[in-house]
Amino acid sequence: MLNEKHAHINLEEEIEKINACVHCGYCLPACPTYLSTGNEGNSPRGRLYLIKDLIRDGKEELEDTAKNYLDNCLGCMACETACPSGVEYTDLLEFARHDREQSKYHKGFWGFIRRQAFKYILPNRLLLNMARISLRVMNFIYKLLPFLPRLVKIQPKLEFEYKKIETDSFYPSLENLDGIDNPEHTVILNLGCVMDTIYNQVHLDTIKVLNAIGYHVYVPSSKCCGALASHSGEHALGEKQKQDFLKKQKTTIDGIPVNKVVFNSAGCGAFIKESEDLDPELELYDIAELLDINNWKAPLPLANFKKKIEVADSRLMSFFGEIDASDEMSVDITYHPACHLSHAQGIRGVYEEILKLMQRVNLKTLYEAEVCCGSAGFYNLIKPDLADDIGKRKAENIQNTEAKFVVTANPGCMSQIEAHLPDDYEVVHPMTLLAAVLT
Amino acid sequence: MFYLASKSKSTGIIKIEALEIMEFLLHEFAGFLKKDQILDDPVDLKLYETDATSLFPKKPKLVLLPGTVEEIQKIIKAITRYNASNPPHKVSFVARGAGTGLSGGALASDYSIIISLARFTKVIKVDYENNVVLVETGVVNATLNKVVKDSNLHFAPDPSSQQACTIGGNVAENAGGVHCFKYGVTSEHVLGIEMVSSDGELKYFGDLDSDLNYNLSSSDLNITALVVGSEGTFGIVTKALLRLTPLQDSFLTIQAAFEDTQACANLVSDIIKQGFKPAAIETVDNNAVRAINKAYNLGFSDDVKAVILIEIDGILEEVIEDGLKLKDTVNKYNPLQYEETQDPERRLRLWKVRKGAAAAFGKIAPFWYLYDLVVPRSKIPDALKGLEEIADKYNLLLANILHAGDGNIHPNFLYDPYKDETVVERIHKASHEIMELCVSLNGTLSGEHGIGVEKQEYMGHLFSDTDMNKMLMLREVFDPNYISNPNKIFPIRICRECHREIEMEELKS
Repeated sequence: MLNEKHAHINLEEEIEKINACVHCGYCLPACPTYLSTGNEGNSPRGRLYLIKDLIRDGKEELEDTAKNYLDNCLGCMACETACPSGVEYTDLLEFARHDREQSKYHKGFWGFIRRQAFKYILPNRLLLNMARISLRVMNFIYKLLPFLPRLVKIQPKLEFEYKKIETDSFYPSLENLDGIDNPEHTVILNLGCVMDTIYNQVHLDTIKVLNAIGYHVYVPSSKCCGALASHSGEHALGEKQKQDFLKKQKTTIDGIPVNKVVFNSAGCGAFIKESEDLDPELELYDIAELLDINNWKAPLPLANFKKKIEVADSRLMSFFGEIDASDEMSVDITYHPACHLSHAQGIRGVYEEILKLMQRVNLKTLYEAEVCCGSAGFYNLIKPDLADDIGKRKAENIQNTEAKFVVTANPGCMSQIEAHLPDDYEVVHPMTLLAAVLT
Repeated sequence: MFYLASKSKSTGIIKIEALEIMEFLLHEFAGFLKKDQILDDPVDLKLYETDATSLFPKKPKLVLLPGTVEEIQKIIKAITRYNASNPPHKVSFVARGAGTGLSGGALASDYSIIISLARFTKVIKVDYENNVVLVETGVVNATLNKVVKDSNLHFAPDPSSQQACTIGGNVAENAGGVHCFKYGVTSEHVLGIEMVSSDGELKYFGDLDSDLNYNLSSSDLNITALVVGSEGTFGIVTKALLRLTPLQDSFLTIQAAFEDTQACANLVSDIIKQGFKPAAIETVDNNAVRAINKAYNLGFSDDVKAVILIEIDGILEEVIEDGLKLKDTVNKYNPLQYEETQDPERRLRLWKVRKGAAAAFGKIAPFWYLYDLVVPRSKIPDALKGLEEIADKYNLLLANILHAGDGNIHPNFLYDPYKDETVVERIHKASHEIMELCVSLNGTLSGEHGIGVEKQEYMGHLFSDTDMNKMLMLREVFDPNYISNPNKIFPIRICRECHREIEMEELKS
């Protein structure tokens, strides 16, 4: 059971962690893979029961069926929210996944390709863009020749437009400060990898929103934060990417250091916040935390913010393309909370509250809202069938709300949900919506 | 974690080559089920060996995940055909929902195939005019409640496992919950059912007919009530027509802490004697209070030996009036702490002492074993005293949680078999005495968890052989061949099916 790879793991600790699971099954309906398959092996309780063999009963190695069940986990952490006993499921799963020489995703040719992808493509704008374009071309070919076997079951509506954002720069620029000169009110915004390539507009919108609520924004030349590599089991590479990322989180204004770092991708924020060896000076925020009307932090007074949101009727309606003068017009919106926001960071309700402030928005309750959409990093590339089933279920729930607009705050969720909804639906990042309303 | 050495039982089932049977049946099943609906890998079978108990792990021979009622019918017909053409072989089936049961009711017995209802998750029709809902039985209790909540309705039975347990399981075990004191247990909320009986045919009972129409005034023999609580021994319930109850306008939650467990118990009797009808009366005692206080930092002083939670609901004026009277009653018993609230968030915090109990136990000891006793309300003080004596005698750590309103006591033994080697044995001995204590107080074996395999050997303490034979006769009406969830509820010695098997074994040799 324990070989040299596990040398750093304290087995006593792991036993204690697995003992916390009382097998009550409360996690079952929270788990997307269980909801889609109905199979105990695809539930957190089932997986823990298998891991228990490894930890408590001294089993050498798990069977292939068991490994497959562990691999099927999306890592959405909904089970940790549901668990009454506080079982550290993610840690235990990580422990079990260490024993992975057998995994086909990590060895041989495909393993090599994967590692190279994490290493070279993610941190490289140009290569990422090429990957995006080839996905787009592939989707086009599939449309023409629908009988071809599919390698990837995602077809996000990828935009070609790409507006380059200068890095190592301030927004607004230092010469043009327009009253924002307090370093306290400056935040660092990272562009990351996937978000910047596929949803680059969201970054522009985030800067607008941050400016509108009184923050001065600095964009460093950081690259991928390492979350994707790390969550796929490439821990060493992920760690290195993270260290490089953290080195970039430094700037000063008039010699005073800027410590506030803001994320608009829930996945990146959750990953960096989890790090153990962070600079204690650093303050990490998801953008949602700066917009929480119940715990307002931004320089712009809350009353002003609320007023702006409430009165932005015409701008809102033109954003949704519902340009109608009549006052009765309202638009149905539903909100999908990203797992890395709700389950990993415990940030809930922020965007719902803001949407409720908008007078002409009907916020429709999404059934199974906090259930993962099936994106989960690269999950939809590794487990296309299951990811597809989970995505379809999410899409069905969205369609049942009768809202044509879905708001969600993570690039992975955005592309997965877009791919499973019909063409007349629109998925928007809350920043895009807010930018339209505030500016 | 429930961890007791599993008892070895002689069920008298004839030894036959399991593989042979299953291969034959597998071939049949493969004809109408997809590959991912048939689980026969040893890893899968292991995963289905327990439910929320780890008491009596028993691997099924096969697990099936049908998606439609027709598939369930086909499965059962295939089993029946096989049994008929290969006497005395007897393959049986067990329905399983979310596997949250605490008495082993959804576990396999010898030659059992588990039929999972995990894919039966449709809420078919909500009738807001008549306040009824038709559901497939794999629907999760809390999910159903979420669906109807916007219309100010709820399905009243709320067992602690509400967030995961399925309607099918609620029906099988006749589930209760903290609010069932006022609203009644599951049997009072099931109006009709669709059941696949043990010959594979569809049966409709109560207000539901075969076109899934319902007539809410049917006046035939109330068979639905018989099926509810039969623990899956009559067949597999696939659809249920349920009554929805309007949510109350307002509520008041009272929490009071006492130095003396007896005072708390007496207070419960007093409240009921005075004719109050609270939605819930729950108490948590001694070790349980300490555990929960430690886990959630609730700020009870060290002197606190018992905490009571009382919740009343209804229209505002009524709630306020009753609240004042209740306050007086509670204060008569000199509580150390008293708090009442109408604020939803504070209410959740007050309820933490009860709802967070199970999780908090995990922080004191890695395992716990839970009982489900019912005694007449007036006997609660005696029962608590008796339990304490038994715990002392066997040197066990006892923590009690009570649905005090209906006399349902959940004593828990918290233990760690890795540190204390004889503890499991001592718990077994204590169990025996606890059951005897319960019967001597005119109590019964199970309030809401069911008998299952866990308590079947104690049935004889409560019922005579004649009584149990009568119950078995009733069961035979629905399942004459004993293939629907066999070897449950009744003690093995009385069980006709086993006796029959033994007879057959004798015949064979």
